[in-house]
Formats: sequence, structure tokens, C-alpha cells
Amino acid sequence: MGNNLLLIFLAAFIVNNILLMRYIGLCPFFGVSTSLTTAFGMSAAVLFVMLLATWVTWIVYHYLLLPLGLVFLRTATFILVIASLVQFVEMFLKKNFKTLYSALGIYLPLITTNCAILAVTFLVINYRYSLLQSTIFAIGTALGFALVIILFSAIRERLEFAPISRAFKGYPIAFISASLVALAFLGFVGLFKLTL
Amino acid sequence: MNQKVNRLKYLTDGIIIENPILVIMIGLCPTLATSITAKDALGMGIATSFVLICSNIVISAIRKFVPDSIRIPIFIIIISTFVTIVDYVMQAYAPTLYRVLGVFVPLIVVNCIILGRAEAFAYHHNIFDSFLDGLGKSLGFILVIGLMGIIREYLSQGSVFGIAIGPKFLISQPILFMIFPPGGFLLIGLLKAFINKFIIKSETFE
Amino acid sequence: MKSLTWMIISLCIICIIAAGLLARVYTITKEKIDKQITENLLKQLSYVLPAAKSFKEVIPDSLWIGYEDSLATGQKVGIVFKVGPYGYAGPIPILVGYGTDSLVKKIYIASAAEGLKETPGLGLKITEKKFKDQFNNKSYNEIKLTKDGGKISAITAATISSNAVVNGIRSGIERYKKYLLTDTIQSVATDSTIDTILIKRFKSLLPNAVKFQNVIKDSVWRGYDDKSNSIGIIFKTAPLGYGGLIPIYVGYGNDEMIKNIYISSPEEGLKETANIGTKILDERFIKQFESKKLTDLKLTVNGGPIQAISGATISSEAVLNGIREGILRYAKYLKTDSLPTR
Repeated sequence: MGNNLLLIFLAAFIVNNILLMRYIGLCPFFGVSTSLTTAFGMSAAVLFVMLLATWVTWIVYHYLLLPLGLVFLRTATFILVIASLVQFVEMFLKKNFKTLYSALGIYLPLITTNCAILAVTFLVINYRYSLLQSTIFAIGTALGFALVIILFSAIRERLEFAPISRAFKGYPIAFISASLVALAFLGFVGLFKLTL
Repeated sequence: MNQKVNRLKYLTDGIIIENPILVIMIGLCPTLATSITAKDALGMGIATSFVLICSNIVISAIRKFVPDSIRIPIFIIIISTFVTIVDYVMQAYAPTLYRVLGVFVPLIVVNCIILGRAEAFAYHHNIFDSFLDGLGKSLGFILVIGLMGIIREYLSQGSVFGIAIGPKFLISQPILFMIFPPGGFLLIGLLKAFINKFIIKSETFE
Repeated sequence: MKSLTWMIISLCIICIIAAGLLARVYTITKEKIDKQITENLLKQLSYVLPAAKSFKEVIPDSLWIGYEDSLATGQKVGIVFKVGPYGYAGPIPILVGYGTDSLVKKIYIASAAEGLKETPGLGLKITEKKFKDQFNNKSYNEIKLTKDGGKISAITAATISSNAVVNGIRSGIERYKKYLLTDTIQSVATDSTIDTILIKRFKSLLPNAVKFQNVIKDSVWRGYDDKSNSIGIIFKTAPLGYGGLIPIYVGYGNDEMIKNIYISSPEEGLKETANIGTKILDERFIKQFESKKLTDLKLTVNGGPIQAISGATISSEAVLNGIREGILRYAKYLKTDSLPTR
């Protein structure tokens, strides 16, 4: 059991990294990875919302949609749950945790359309994970997101000052750097063999 | 006359000048994830286009009845309805494609192109214009994702749409790198650089 | 105020239309999707075991038995089993057709679209005909890589994947080959009518009962006395013995005691070794179960009252465990007076 959970965590964290191996959540990845501070803020917000969203949608799916035979409303329900959850968290933080809100506040609205959140809620259903396994999966995924986005923002801060030809400035060089980072992550693919 | 030219512009803008992927830089996830072969890329392109065009039309049709303050939730419901329709129809009639695209089919709902066009265009324009806009953006999306699919499939398997063409060495010694995520990132980076160099001449592309 | 009302109404209208539309799409496509899935499975099963005309699922999603006729009742021609050994990047789903002549007929390896995660160009080559067809008509001993003295040549630079396939198939044969021997138990009773031989047997299993009602088709019956009071149940269980499944009928009273048991004879499908395993049919062995409770079901070596048959411990243990499992599974039907809706 413990071994299994560790495996789920490692798979979500590194081997099937959500950004570089699954290509999910790329819009915020290229959007906010321009500086180290914003990368930290975004990562924290994603971790927080991803965990909450996974719990809520897991419970909604298993105790509401499944018993009532309404699985075909899954997509609509999940996205609405996430959207309202983000709204609610934003209001709650604004009222009770001023400092946290000033740190995370601007990233929260961006998260509704972050496909990483929705993808994780779908994947834990598709993989038939229990609530505990889903939690581990969500934490692993969010940390994997954080790891890559923080690493990458450091690279992009350097790129700002690098002599790059005009056509490659901005997005193109960011994509090519992402390609090299992804190449490094490709080396983890055989890792499963070790743990089994 | 002037009006006609304007309308045509709704259609053509989306293809190159306002191409959703390479110029506006949204909708990257499906573009990279599902462009491993030309067929998958085209399937994803058509599925997304269906949702984009339908939701544009419906949102434009009901725009006068929708209270401003709750327009976003209503957009989301409409979009996710069409996404679910695509999801089930694909499962029933194209099961192989559905298994390849996997979680990216329901994820069409968070494709920023669709919500973006609903909010920025369909909510303020009439049905026909919204249809043209949706069609134009769809063509732009299909163009890029299809191109990526063709290039990646050709380099990694020596074939296009499953039909083997080109030099023999691509089949015996394919460039497998293009199948993997790094290949996708590299290709879209090069395409973007190409667009920057030849299509967008101004300094504003940063 | 007016705007708030309109807000709620419009949102509700949209939701109702959306939900209605989706429900419609769901019902239209569901049938097609289900059909798609069963047809696909049947296609794969007949591909790996071409001689079979029909299949019966024995272990859900893992083991099927193939029959030569289309009604799944005639001569058995082989089994199909599913294994999922670990390759380089994840499990490799394989379907194997294994004939009654103990030869692998054909294998089917899931394609990348069906969840295979091996590296394209390297590990993924296991799905190619050249590799796959090496397994056709090979025996257990021949299924080894050539370097280990077998007849399967591994794919260059993809030894891990090739090895995984070979080992997966070998372990699958070891695990499932026993199902080739056993015949499935012939069904003896239909839904409402129970034939006379069976009634006679039931009366010996549950003394005082005069009427029997089928609760679960071919598995559980409830017995009633002459005043139509429920007095207990009879259930059928079929644990795996030494040579195959052992069909057992158990009478279990409302006082939670075993009344009597009946073990099918070799003529009725018992496959235990003659004169050793078949000793479980001995009156002295069977009598031991009379008036025993669930907690009493232990062999003497484990501190219980049931004496195993010397030389046939496996068969004895199987009977014991089969009865215990049956009680655990079916005891709930003692309590309920009303029939479960089915």
C-alpha cells in the first residue's frame, strides 16, 4: 500500500510530469514563468486549489453523479465546481487572510481556465483512485508543476539578457528551452522498473 | 460593399493574422499533446472546431437574454454541453481516436480559444458574424495543429496520414525524438520563430 | 430584484436545456458504446483462439473459456487469458489463446492506442507481426528467449519489453492452465422449476423442508416447511480442488448450522484423483460437517474438529474453504424474508 502510494506520487511528480510529459497546463506555464516570484506565487495557488478541487470533485462524482446515474454531466459539473471553488477561495482569503490574498490573489482567477486542475480531477476518476490515492496524486502533480515552473522561470530570467536573434526572442526561445528541459525529464521514463 | 469586406475579415483574420495558436498563443496544450500523428491532430482539430463554432452560434443567439453578471457561468455550461456531446459521439463512432485523445477530449472545455471567443466576440456580435469568426479561428487552429501533426508524423514514422512516403531512411531510422514531448516543444518554437520573422513584421510580438 | 429573478430563471433554463440535451445524447450513444466494447472484445478473443465459436467469461476481464459451438455448452477448445506484465514504461496488456492441446494459439498485444506505453520504435515493436507471430503454436517449454534456450528471438535493443512478454505469457499459463481440465458445472435448475432429482437431494440436505424457492439462479435456494415458514437455505459452491472444481451443495439452517452437504460424484463432474481425492465422497468425511457452525470449520491440524482425508489434504481443505466461503457469501439470505428484487 505504502509502496503503491509512493509510486503514484513519483509518477505524478516526475515520471509523468504534467507540464513536460503530458502537456497539460501550458498556458500559465509560458504566461507566468517570466520571473521567479510569480512562479512561486502561481505554484502555491495551484497546489492549494488542485487539492481542494480534487477532494470536492471526487466526492461529488462518487456520492452524487455516480449514484444518480448522471455521469454525462461530469464535464459541466466539474468545471462549474472548480470555477465556484476558486471564487469562494478568493473571497475567503480576501476577508480572512489578507497577506495570503495579496500573495496569491492575482493568480486565482487565472486558475479557473488552468487545464491542469480540471485534468487532475478527470484523471483520478479515470484511474479509479481512492480518495487517499487521489490526494497523493494531486499533491504529486502540483509539486511537479511547481518544480518545472520554478526551474524554468530561473532559465527565463537569464534568457532576458542573452543575445538572441530577433525572431527567436520571447516565446520561440522559451519553447526551445522547454524542449531541452523536457529532454532531461524523458530520462525518467524507465524509472518504474526500479520500483517494481 | 465595405460591410462585406469587413465580414470576410472576420473569417480570414483567424487563419493567419490572428492565428489562435501561433499569434495569440492560446490553446497550446492540445496542440502539442495530440499532434503526434496527422490523423490524431486532425481529429482533435475537428472536435475543437465543432465546439467552438456551435458555442459561438448559441452564445450569439442568446446574448440579449443573458444577464451580464452571470454570463461566464452560462458560457461555461454551454461550452461543456457541446464538449460532452463530442465526448460521447466520439466514444460511439470513433473509439480508436477517442482512446488516443483520452483526457484531452473533456479538456476542450478549458481551451482558452473557445471561452475567449465567446467573451470577446460572440457576446457582442450577431449570429452570422459569430459563425464566421468561429469558422476562421477553427481553420487557424486546424491549420497549425494539422501542420504539426504532419511534420511530426513524417519525421518520426516516415508517413503522413498512415501512408508511407519519402526516403527509406526515415522508415528504417526514424527521428523518434519528434514523437516525444521535447520534439513537440522544439517544433512549435521553430514555427513561432518563422511566424515572427516573416508574418509579423512589427515589434509587437513579444 | 427583477434582475435577480431573471438571473436565476435564465440560469435554470440553460441548465435544464443542457441537462436534457446531454441525457438524450447519452442514451442514444450508450447502446452503441456498449456494443462497441463487447464487439471489440469478441473480435480479440476469436483472433487469439480461432477454433472457438463462443466464449464464456470465467474470471471477469481475465479469463474466458472458448467452446466449439455457438452456445457455450459443447466441447471446450481452449481458454483465453489476459496478463499485464511490466515492460519498460508500464504494463503490457496481452491476450493469450491457449488450446486444449496445451499450445499457445495466437497472442494479441494491445496497441499504443489501447494503452501500451512502450517506447515507439523500440519497445513498441513487440506489437509487430514479426515478433508476435513467433508465439503461434508454441508450447510452454518453447516460450523462452533464444538466449535461454527457447524459440522466441527478442527485439534488438528492447530486451526488457521482449522478456516481459515472454514471462507474462509463461506465468499466465502456469496460473490458468488448470481451467483447461475442468468442465463448467452443468446447470441443474431453471428459474422456477426444480427437477425431481434435485428436490430429492435438497430434502436430504435440509430435513423438514418440503418446498424450495430459487433465490439466485443456480446458486441459492430457500427451503420452507409444511407451514410455509422459511427454515434455511441451500447453496451451491465450487472450490478449486486438486484436479478441478468440486461442486458442493450445502444445506444451511436458520439456526446457522450446517444440516448436510452433498458433493457431486465423478459422473457429475468431479475431477479429483480416483481413490485419493475422491475419498471426499466418503460418508465418514461428509458426516463430519453435520451440525457444524461457521467457526467450527477448521481442520484438526488447525485445532478444529474436521479430520482431513490422509493423502488428500488439498481436496479436503478445498471442500472446507468452499463451504466457509459459501456461508460468508450467502448467509444474508437467511435473514431476509422477502425475495431480493432481481
